[in-house]
Amino acid sequence: MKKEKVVFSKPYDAALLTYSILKRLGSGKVNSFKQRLRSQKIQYLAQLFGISPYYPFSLYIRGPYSSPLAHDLFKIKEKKIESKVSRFVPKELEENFIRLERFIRGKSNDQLELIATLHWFVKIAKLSTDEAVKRVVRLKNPPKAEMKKAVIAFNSIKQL
Amino acid sequence: MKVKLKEIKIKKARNIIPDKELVSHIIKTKEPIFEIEKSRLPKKTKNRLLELEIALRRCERVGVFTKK
Repeated sequence: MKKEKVVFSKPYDAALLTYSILKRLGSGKVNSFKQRLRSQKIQYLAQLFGISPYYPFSLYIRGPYSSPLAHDLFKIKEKKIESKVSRFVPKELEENFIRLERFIRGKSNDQLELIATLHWFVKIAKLSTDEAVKRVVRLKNPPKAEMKKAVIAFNSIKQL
Repeated sequence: MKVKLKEIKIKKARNIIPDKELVSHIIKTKEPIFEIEKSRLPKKTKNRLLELEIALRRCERVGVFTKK
């Protein structure tokens, strides 16, 4: 019987690597809305840290969202594709992975959403940080302390 | 470089967002959604190290060699 070809929005091994990185960071699942949101935000950050293949992101109500990434993660789930979780061979990538792992450690979905949205407004929409903060506050109305934490975290990755 | 944002009609959200829950939420709240106009997106630069990692993983997957 002919084996059915899985069509990803990226080359097979790039999609697999993306999934593998998300898995290594305790994400990549798409069963619930929370899991999907976390996968999206971690992938957005993984791209910033230069350790994951490029997926195009657009800004939606819950922050940057990539339809092609959602498509690929759903395909991986649907076809029950397993991906080996392993370290990067290039030292630089492994070091960046560890930096990202530290960055997302202990951060809630809401925090990741605020940070990614701030980043998108500043780096993609080219707003100033102040304008971006105002816009995020208007859109999401987060508690002040949460917003403050998000701005500090964003400033630490602003240069990426 | 200035990036131009294009507002997406809420009715069309279903065509571009595969996440049904997210689409229902967008329709319910009528929040505006935007996409960047592709023609004005900066070109992404290639990440050689990432390409190397992908190639190595492919070799391992198809059995050319085992990583490490």
